[in-house]
Amino acid sequence: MKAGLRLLSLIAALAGLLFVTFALGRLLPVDPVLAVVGDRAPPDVYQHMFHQMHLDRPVAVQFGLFAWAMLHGDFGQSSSTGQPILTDIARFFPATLELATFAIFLGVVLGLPTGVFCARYAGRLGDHLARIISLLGLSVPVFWLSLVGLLVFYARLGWVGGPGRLDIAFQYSVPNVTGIDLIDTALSGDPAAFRDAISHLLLPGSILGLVAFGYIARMTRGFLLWQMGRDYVVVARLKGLSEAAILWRHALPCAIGPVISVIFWTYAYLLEGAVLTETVFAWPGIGLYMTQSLFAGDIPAVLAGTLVIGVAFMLLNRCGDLLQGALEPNAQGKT
Amino acid sequence: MPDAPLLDIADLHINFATPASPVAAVRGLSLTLGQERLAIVGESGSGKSATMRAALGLLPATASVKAQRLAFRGQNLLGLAPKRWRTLRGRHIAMVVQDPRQGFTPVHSLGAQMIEMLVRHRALTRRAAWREAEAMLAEVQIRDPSQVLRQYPHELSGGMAQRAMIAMMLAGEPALLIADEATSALDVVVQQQILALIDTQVRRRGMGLILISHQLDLVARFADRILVMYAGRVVEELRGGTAALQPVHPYTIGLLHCRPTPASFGRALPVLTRDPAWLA
Amino acid sequence: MMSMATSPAKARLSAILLGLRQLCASVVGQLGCALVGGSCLLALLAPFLPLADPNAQSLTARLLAPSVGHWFGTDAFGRDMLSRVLLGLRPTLFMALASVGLSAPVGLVIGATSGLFGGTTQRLLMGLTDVFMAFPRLILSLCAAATLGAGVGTVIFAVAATGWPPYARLARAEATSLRGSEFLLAAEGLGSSRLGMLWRHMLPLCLPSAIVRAALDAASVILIVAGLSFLGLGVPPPAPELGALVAAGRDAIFDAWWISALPGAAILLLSLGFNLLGDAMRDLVDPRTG
Repeated sequence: MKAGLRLLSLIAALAGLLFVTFALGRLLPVDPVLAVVGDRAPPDVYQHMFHQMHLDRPVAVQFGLFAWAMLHGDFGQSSSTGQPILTDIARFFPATLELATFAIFLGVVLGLPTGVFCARYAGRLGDHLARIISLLGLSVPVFWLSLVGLLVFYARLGWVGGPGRLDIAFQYSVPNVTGIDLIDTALSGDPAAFRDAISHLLLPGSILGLVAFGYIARMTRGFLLWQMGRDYVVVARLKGLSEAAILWRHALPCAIGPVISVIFWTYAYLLEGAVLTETVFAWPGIGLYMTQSLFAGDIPAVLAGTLVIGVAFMLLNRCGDLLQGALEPNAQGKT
Repeated sequence: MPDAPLLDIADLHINFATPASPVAAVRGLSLTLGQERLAIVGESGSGKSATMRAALGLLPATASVKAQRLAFRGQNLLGLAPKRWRTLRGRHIAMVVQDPRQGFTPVHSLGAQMIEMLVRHRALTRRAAWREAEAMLAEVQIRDPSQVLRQYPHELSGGMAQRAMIAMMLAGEPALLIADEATSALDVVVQQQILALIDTQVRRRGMGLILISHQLDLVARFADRILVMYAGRVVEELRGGTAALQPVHPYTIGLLHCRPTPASFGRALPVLTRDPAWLA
Repeated sequence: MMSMATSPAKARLSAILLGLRQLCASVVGQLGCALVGGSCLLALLAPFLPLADPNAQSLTARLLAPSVGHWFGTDAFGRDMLSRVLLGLRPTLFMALASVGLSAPVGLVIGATSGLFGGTTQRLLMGLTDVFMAFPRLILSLCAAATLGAGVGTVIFAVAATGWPPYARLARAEATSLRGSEFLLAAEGLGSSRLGMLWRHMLPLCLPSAIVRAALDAASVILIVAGLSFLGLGVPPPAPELGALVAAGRDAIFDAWWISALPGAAILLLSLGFNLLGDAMRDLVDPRTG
C-alpha cells in the first residue's frame, strides 16, 4: 500500500514537472510561431505553422500532446545546433554524469568518515575544524571557486589541465565509447590520454566534491549526534559498552538510512550545480548546453534540458527514499 | 570488599551549569545501601535521578559532583576513569530505564542485543549466549522466548519489553539493580507485575535494589526502606514493606493526602502547599 | 535577575532579547550575527557612504590592483570595485531575502494548516508539497528566466515558488505532534474556531523552527541568486550585483584577479554568515544536534 502511494507521488511529481515546463514554455513573451517562421512570413505560412504547432487546439490537448512527445523523447529540433535535441542531450549528458559521479565519490569517501569522526569527537578541536571546512563547502559559490581554482591551480601552479575535458591533441584521437572520457581514455590504452582526462576532471570534480563533502559530512554528523542523544544509547552505556562500539554498532546503523537518502539528494543537487561549474570550465555537459541554448534563444532545448535534469533529480531522490525505507523497517525515523 | 555497603554516599552535591547561574540538583544527600531494597521517592526535580546517574558516572559534562564519599562496595567512584566505569556498568551495577521500547536499539533484534550483553560480561560463545538468553527470558515469564529473541523492539508491548530489559540488565549478574521509574511508562496492571518481577529476581539473586519513583504508594510495598527526597535533599526516611506508612515530615504527609481515595469522591482534592522551610 | 514582565508584549520582548543574548554567547552565533548584521547594515547604508561613483568609468584607471586609492582595485572600465561590491550587496540580499520572505510564510501556513486540520486537507496539501519538493530549484529558475524573461522579479518568483516545501514539511510535522496537545483541546473547548487556533496557537509555535530554517535557507538562496546573476539572468547591467560582478571579471581573471575574486568572496561571507546564524539559532532551539 505504501509502495502504491509512493509510486503515485512520483507520477504526480513527474506530471507536475511536465506541466510546469509546458506552462513556462507557453508563457514566452515571444510568439512561438514567429520564432520559427520569422516575422516576415506571409499569413498563410503563419497559419499553417500555427496549426502544425497545435496552437489552435485547447490547452488541455496541447498539454497532452506535449507530454506524449516528451515521454517519447521527441524534444524537437535545436535551433542553434540544428540537431534533434534528443541527440544533443545524449551527447552532452555523459559529461555531466562523469563530473557529478566523480564529485559524489569524493564527497562520500571523504565526507562519511569525517561525519563519523566529528560525531565521535564532538566538541573537540578536530570536530570544529572539520565543521568549518564542511561549512565552507556549503557556503562557497561554485562558479567563483571554479574561477579562483583555475587561476591558482591552472594558471599559476600548472597542476591541472585547463578548461574543457581533453586537450585538443586527444580530443579526436580517443574513440567515443561511453561518452565518459575517463573510461574511454582508459579503454583506448593511451596512458597520456588517460592522464590528460584526469587532469581536466580533477579541478571541476574536486570543487563539486567539496560541496558534496560539505553536505555529507555535516548531515552525517548531525544524524549521528541525533542518534547519540536517544534513549538506546543511554542503555548501551548502561550495558558497559565502549563509546566506539556504541557509535559503530548502534548509532551508525540507525543513522545510515537518512545518510543514504542525503547522499542521493546530494548527487541530484550536483547534477543541478554542474550547470555553473560547466559554464566556467567550458565542460561540454548538459548544463553548458542549456545555458548556451538559453542565450541563443533556443527555448525548446532549455525546456528539454530542464525536463531531463528534473526527471533525473526526481528519480535519484526517490531512490534515496526507497533505500532509506528499506534500511530502516524498524528504526523510528524523523517525521 | 565483601563487607562494604553496596552503595555508600555521604554529603553528595551535584550542580548543573546553565546559561544563567548554576542549578543545585542535589544538596547534601547521604545514603547507605546494603543488600536490601531501597525506594527513593520524589517529584520531578527532587534530584533522585541525578543521584543515580552520579552513581553510574552518566552525568553530563555540565554537572559537577562533590561528595565526602561516593563508593560502590568500597571502591571510590569520585573521579573514576571512563574505562573503569565501563567495567562497573552492566557487570556490577545495572539500571532499568523508564521506556523500554526506546531503550532497545531499533535496528537490532532483541536476541542480538541480549547476546551482546552476555558475550561482553559472561564471555559466552554466541550459541551458548542464545541459549542463556532464552533461559533468562523464560525466567522473566516471557512465553516463547526463542520467538521473542528474533523480534525487534517496536514489535513488543511495553510490558514485554520491560521484562526483556530486566532480563538483559540482569544478564551480567550485577550486585546492584537500579530501577529508574521503571514502571512509569506502563499500564497500571502491568506496573504491579513488573515490580513483583523485579522483587522476585532481586531476592533470588541476593542483590541490592534501588527503586526510583514519584509514586510513594506504588513502591512502598516493594521496599525495605523508603527515602523521600525534596529539592535535592532527603527529608524523611520511612520503613517500607507495608501499605500503612506513618510519615512525619509535612511534605510526605502532604504527598499522601494528595492521593484520590474512594472517600474523596465528589470533593475537591487537597493541593500540596509548599513550605519554604523545607528548602533549608 | 530580570524583573517580571507586566504584559504579554513585554514578555515576548524580553524573550527575544534573551534569545539574542544567548545567540551571541557562542562564537558561531557571534560570527553569524556579525556577518549578517554587518552585511545588511552595509547594504542599507551603501548609497550614503562616501564611496566613489560605481558607474564612473575612467580610461586611465583601468584594471588597477587593490591599493590605497582603490581598496578593491578597479575593473576593465576603470570603475572602483569597492563601491561596486558594496552596492552589489543590495540586489543580492534583496533577492535572497525577498525569496525567503515569500516562501517561508507560505510554507509555514500550508504546513501548519495541514497538520492542524488533518485528514483530506492534509493529504491534499502534503501531496502538493511532495510534488513541488521534487522540483530542481536552480534548473527551474533558469528555465523560468529563459521563458519569462530575466530580471529581479523572475528570480524572486522562481526561487520562492520552488522554496516553500521544506517549510511546509517542517510545520506539518510540528503541527501534527501539537495537534493532540491539551492546550488546543482547551482552546477548542473555549469556543475557538479552527482558524483561530491556527492563527493564535499553531503558527506562533511553529515559528521558531521556521526561522531557523529560513536562516539556513537564505544561505543557499544567496548562492542560487548569485549563480543566476552570474549567468546574466538577474539584475540587468550596468547595475552592480555580486554574481554579475564575478561574471564581469571572468575574462580578466588570470591578470586582474580582484575583479572576480572579491565580489565572490563577499558572496561566500554572506552565505557563510547565514549558515553560522542558522546553526547558532538551531543550537538554541534544538540543542540535541549541536
